Amino acid sequence: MDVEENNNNNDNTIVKLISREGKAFPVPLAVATMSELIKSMKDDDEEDDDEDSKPTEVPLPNVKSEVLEKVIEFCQHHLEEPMSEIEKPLKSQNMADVVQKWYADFVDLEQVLLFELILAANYMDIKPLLDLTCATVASMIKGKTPEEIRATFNITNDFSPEEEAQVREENKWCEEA
Amino acid sequence: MMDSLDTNDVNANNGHRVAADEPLSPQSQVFALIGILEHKILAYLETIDVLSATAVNRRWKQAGQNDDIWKRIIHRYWKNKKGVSSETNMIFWRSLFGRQAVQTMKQEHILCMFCHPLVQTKYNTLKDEISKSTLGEASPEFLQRFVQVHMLDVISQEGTAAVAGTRENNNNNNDDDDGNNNQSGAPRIFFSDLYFGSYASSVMDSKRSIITQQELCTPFGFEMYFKIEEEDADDDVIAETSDRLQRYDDDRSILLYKYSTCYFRHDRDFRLVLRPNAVPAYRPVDLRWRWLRMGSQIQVGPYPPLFVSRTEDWGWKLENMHVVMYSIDGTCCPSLDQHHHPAFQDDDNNEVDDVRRPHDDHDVAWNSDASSDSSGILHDDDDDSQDV
Repeated sequence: MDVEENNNNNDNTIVKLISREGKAFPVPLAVATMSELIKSMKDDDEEDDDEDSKPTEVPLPNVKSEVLEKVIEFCQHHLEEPMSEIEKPLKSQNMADVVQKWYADFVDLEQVLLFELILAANYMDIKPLLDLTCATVASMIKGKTPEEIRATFNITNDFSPEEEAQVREENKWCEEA
Repeated sequence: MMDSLDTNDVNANNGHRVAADEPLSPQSQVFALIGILEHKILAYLETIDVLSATAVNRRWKQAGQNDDIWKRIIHRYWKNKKGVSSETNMIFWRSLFGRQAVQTMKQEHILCMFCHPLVQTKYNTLKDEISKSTLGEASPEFLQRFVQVHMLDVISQEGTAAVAGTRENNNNNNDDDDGNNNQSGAPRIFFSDLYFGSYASSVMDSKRSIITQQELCTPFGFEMYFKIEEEDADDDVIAETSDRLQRYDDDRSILLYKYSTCYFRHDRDFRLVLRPNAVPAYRPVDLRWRWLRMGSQIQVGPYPPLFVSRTEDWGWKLENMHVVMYSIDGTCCPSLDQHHHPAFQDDDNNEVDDVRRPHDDHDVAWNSDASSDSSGILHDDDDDSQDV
């Protein structure tokens, strides 16, 4: 792989991430430990690390190969060009205006995959990836009416007519002058 | 690249298939995760978008009315507004809270409602009522709780009246309140989330254009300005007093000359407190004020009526052709330290008066009880001894 020279801290230790389908993704330790989940697992079994050449395997039964591949792509890039903090509130609906181009392109995905990435980032505990993907969802909400938000994410409206009237009444007063 | 495909020991697969009989979409899973929607996604949005989100469905409403989101919004939006404080954990003193919100209130929330200068008076009245009532034998904790809850009811009623006032006003000159024939005018909502309710109530209240007597008779007073036509103003005067002149927003040819601080008192005295070198040294005496129209028109002495309106920063403005008065901010006390808290001081305790005199550079004697010697309407330079 082509990432060895970037990480002088953790020699060349390789970790194998195993997707739900059982596919193994060998990655440098520095990439894998962007995930707090993996990091804590590694810390736990530090003591029985006998330096043998057999790479540690990390099973990730919640993450599909397709998603894991994207996660790794993100982590690798993040080590080279860390993502800048995304400003709150978002100043634009366009992700290219709020984060570096590579990251904006990275989240230009099919919606299902984007949400699977959120689940993976949450499960694997990768904060910058969770920030990026959640900000992307926020950018899809920004400027939309409740009806449009439902349509965008295919959400059912489960309010009773009374509840809906109440929300409308409450919100009417909140609109800033 | 060289991804090895070892599929040997993945027995988890079967278990997953069973559970995945009726799979939730990743979208539904994400939105159902407690924390993601409220703390990660909605955190990136502005107020108006958060409000849209609360109208999506039940789960989104719950997420969108989350305290942390609204704490953040309050912090941002209340900055530079009068009558509120954007300090952490601040809630609006006239919030329309339902039972549910009241039950989640902590001591610090109640304190910050009590510490509003306009609430203190009511609190004392209430304390008297309770001491006279049969509850006198209850435990102090119970009493305090009773005061807290009862207090909130008082505030809620006030808020209700306030909103009714706003409605009335809107209906007169505003037709965007489509088809709302709620004759009573009272809102049917009481908020069940502290910070969302606090924010909503504050915005609601900022649209009220009827001033209460409590607010008019604020111990903090009003900053009074004379209007000066720019072309009439003497260059010398302008040069001399430039630090006190400012442009009047609505009309570029009018300057405002900062003249004094003035106070409307509950006993109908109107007091002007001149600055040490005020020009002109015009000293009206024995001025009284009265309502021409309750809450919206005031007359001071023989002068033209003052009309009441709101400013952008949620303050009050009283105005006629000659003068403009802006309310001086009487925000909540910055310190929530109970021991120095006016709400917990006795009425005749000196510390209360200290708190009521926020502007040390003015020598006003604000003693609502004793100092009603009507001869001394202006105490600009000789009453150092009289305060407190």
